[in-house]
Amino acid sequence: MTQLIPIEAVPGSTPPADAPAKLRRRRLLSGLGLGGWVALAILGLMVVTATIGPLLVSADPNSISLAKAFVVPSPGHPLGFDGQGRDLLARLVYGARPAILGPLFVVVVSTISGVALAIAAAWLGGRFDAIASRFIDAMFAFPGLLLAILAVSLFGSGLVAAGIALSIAYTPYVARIVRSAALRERSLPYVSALTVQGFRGVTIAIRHLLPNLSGLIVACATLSFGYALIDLAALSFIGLGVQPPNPDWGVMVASGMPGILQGFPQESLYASACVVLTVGAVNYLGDRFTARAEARS
Amino acid sequence: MRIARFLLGRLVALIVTLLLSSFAIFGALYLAPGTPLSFLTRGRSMSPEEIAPLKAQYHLDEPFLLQYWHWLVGALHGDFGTSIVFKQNVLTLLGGHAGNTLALVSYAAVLILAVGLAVGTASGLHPGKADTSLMLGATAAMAVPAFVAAVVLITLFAVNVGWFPVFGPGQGLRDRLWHLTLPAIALALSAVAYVARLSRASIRRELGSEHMQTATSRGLPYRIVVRRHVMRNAMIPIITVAGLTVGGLIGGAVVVEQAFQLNGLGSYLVEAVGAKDFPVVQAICLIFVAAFIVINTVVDLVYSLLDPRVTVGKPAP
Repeated sequence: MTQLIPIEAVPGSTPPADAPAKLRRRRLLSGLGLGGWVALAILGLMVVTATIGPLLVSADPNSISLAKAFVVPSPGHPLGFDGQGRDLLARLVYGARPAILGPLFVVVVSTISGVALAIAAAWLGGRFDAIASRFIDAMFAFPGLLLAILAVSLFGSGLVAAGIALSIAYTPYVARIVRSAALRERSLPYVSALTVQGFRGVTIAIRHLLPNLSGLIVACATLSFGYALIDLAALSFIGLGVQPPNPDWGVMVASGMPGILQGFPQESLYASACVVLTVGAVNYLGDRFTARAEARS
Repeated sequence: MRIARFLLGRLVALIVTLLLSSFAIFGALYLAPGTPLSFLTRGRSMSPEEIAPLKAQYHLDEPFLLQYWHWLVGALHGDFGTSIVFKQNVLTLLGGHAGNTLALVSYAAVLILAVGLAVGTASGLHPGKADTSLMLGATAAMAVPAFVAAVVLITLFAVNVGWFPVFGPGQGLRDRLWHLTLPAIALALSAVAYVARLSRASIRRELGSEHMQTATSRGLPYRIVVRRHVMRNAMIPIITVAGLTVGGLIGGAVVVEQAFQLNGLGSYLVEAVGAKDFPVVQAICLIFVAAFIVINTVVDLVYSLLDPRVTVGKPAP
């Protein structure tokens, strides 16, 4: 996972910081541009596919029929069949579930724990901040995929152990970015004003600090989703994540490889396309959100 | 004096990080379900004669911290114990795999630095249609994970046109380079795109800066302005990020080695996880993490010494 570095700023995409609450609430989706809406549409399609897609597909993703191996598309089977005669569309649709929901879990857990750690460190300061920062630095030493592989070797293959391991590995990335922003925010006059008025620290942190950091947190979470999707799919690709014959995009890229050598690369390429489309859409949105969060501060 | 203190501080931080991560890798044995011994032997019927050396290897009769100490001292001497599956010294087993991984990662690192910098510089210095489409391509390439790149490259260049071999590491220097070309491209692709985008943005920022205008108004030739005033400043963030992406190749190497059956440390790690050969898993994890930490520290040092604005010995504001 690479750091969150704004590559270029998008000018004029953000309302002033003192904009009324109504304006600010709409900000998440305003000024996305055509590309942003396309990305959002792709992402929406993938999420819908992952949640209710399996209800809409009649073919069984796991029924093997060697007579249908590599059979070309036909009505009712728009993408044809894989090397074991399984319906490719059904496998892609069922495979969307682990491919989308797995990273979602990682993002939710790592964002909550990272933000909590960061705000506590920035707010409490002093020794807690020093220890938390050391801890964050030390956790950077583990590449996410490696920690996931270690977890799989301890607890067995599958997405659960790997998902938890990745959530832990992603926490320091979120925490480091949010901590420095929270420190900057903390030194602003409105925080002192609220303190003088006698508000409790927790109240200020949750009611005022957190909403002001939300743009950055959303940007961070969006980009993490793409990295988590890649890491989990890679884990399935090397055979340590979702176990075949269960469908998953990473599993399909790997199980289609013998087909490539026989001149039928469809299974690998379709699953690859799903991964690239989703990650591309997420990265595009993440870049937009990052640029906007940077422009604001 | 200040530099000496600075270097010493970094060295201490490096050692502390290495100790913490090695502790985590060793302690993982105790996180596993069951007792350490049952975890190490799981799924195997082992005679007491076979279990005794395993207990001795991990010093399971001694207190936890002492076990870690023995393991760490052993690892520092290159003794990672004995493989449970092959009954051989782990280091000897790894020796045959390390070369392939090192060659793959170095090849990819060269690609990242050379191609990423070249594309980014060309785009940054020459705005226009080519620049826009290059950056569009780079943005798309950033979304391509290594295993997808591997599959697409195999389909296009190994199977369809047959320019490159599909699998295996090859023998001899030229043959190996030829075998490693597609894997290295697959591994480097998204990082090349990232470095290219970042270099372009960094160069653009410098091109629009006031010191660049001053240099131009002093009548310096464009070539010299670019070389002395634009590139020198633009390079600092680029080198940092490029260095960090090279560290990130370690995780990707596992995937690419598996895709191209390169028989390196990464594919051996996957094999060892499957075979429940925990000493080997620990050894490879330790080597990868140590390499990652050392690369990151070196990049950090180079950055601090390269940028005269970073006051050595003081944390950045």
